[in-house]
Amino acid sequence: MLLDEKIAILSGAARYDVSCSSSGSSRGAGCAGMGATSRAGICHSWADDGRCISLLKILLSNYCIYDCAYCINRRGNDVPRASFTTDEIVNLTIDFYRRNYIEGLFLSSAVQVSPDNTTERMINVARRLRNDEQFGGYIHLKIIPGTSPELIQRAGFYADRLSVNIELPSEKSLKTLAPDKNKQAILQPMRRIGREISENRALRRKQKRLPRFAPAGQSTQLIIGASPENDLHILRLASGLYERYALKRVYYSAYMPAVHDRLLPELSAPPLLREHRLYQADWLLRYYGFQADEILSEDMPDLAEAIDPKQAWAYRHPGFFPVDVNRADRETLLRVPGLGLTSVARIIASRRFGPLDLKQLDRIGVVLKRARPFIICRDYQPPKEPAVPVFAGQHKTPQAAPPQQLDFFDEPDMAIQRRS
Amino acid sequence: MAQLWEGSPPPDVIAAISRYSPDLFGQEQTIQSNSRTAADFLKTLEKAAHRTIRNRVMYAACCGTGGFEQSLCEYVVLLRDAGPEIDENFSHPAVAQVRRTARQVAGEAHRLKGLVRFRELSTGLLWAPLSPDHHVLPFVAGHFRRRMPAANWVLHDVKRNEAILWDGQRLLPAMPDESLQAACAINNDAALPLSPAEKQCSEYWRTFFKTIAVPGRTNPELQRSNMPRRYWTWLVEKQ
Ligand code: SF4
Repeated sequence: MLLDEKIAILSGAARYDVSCSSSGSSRGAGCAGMGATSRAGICHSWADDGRCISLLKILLSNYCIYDCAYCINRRGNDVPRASFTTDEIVNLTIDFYRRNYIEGLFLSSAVQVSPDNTTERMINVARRLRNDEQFGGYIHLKIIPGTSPELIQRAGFYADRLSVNIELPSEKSLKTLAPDKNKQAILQPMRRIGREISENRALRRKQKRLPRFAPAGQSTQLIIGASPENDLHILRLASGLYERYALKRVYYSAYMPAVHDRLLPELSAPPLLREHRLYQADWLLRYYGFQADEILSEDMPDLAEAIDPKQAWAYRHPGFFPVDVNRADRETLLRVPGLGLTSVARIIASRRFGPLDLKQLDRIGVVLKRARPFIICRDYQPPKEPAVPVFAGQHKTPQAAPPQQLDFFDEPDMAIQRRS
Repeated sequence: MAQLWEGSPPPDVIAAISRYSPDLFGQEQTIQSNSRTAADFLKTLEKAAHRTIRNRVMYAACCGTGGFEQSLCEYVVLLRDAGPEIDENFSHPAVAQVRRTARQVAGEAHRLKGLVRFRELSTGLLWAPLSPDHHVLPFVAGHFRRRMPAANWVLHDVKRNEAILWDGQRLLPAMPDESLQAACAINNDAALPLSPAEKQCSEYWRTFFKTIAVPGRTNPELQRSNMPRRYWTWLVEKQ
């Protein structure tokens, strides 16, 4: 088969994986070598679907012995199949990298013989790139559920990032839709990676020279809309992953009906808006100090479609507003719709020079259209009763910290010990 | 601007700025040139204020569209008289404009770190044509010096007909020859003096680019807003 055809088959099979980030790692090129990673990550192009292309995102092979209902490569599905040789993928990565098409390689694979056999072949590619080609660019390896700890350990010393995809947000859905995978097979490698990363970090504090283990951390992906879990369930799962498994990112992928199966919902279109709202909520979890149970609750377990989750929270908490931008602390400012991380930092820096007015806030980059009803500044005060949109829903503010119910984390033995 | 710092009246300096940006090529690249004043001024600025402020002035001065000069002068005077803290006053009009200008230039430089495409010429040299809005070649060159120290490459600003060459050890100003310029005007793979491997590799990249997009999710507006059309000229995947 021509290399061009293989590229078409194996990148086409990889496109449903959303993660393409090349951030979180910085590495300089050695004098003989080529390649470096940059902390902020770099996009090299944007595909016709508008998504950033940063990495050569491709499968090593799409021959699969598993039978996941949602996957186009499932065993028995009639699609063209192909596998790369190690040389092919190594050369392709180097050729693309030299021309600045990519930041590096994101290698994944279907399960060809067994999880270990497949992972081993992926590690081989990474090893060749690092050792023989002196490749200093970004490498993200997708670990197959059920991979043994020894292989994970090796993988992490070649890769910048490792990921194990959870895909289905509950054990029940996993059983029905991905019968060859199970919760343990997914969580064990994740836990192992988490442990290796934190141990490596601790060791490196004493010995700076030690090689780094997956310096850009680990991530995972959840498919949205192929199974019945609600947004509250998904956000709780995500915040559990951030807190207990120290994940760098959770990616959400709107389910694209690519195969027909009676177990799957018949969707007319992928739930893109829902995916978007989940990313916004995820952002609130990671950077804005929100808890999953503040964003949603049992009486209102799904994100509103019409407004973003931060606005929704603001409308439900009229008592919290208006906020005086010239006085409030960072945490409080971050809760105001229309204020982002950057504008909050700028407000705090600028107000030392004198109280800010609307014009100055505009110059700073505050989205006044959204912020206006919620703020007080030098020359402005909102009308007494801000109009509450009907679609925002009215429900009780959660009291204290509610019990965390995480389908995936309900067994005590699975809790990762947090090292400080 | 150097004069301004020392107390000259502003009008003198607005004219000086246009001379200032080309000088910067020399300064940033440590290529010998008559960049004394600029280099000294930047050093003074770094000492008196801060590295990030020095960089801000540098980026803003490399703006290719104009209209920012008055604010830049005002900003420099402010720095001198009110001290570096003024840089934090986002609500001051001059500070806001200088920051915006610097961000635009830095933004283009960052964007190009991704959008630059090297083509392997039949001589083996990696050649990257680009037509940026601003004078960003030095910033982009610094990035590739770190990334590809072992290769020989050249960044070619086709719009301004300037180039910077990395010979494995130093960054040097280069003069693209006339036949290459003529080929640039035609700009297709047949006209350019590319190596055979280059043609093959560009095809692989185009295939990848085509198939990596999810078919049901075509979104040309999003694609264009991230990657404006004016950058497509030199994108291998868009030819
Ligand atoms: S393991 Fe499942 S999801 Fe992965 S390629 Fe095979 S069938 Fe698809």
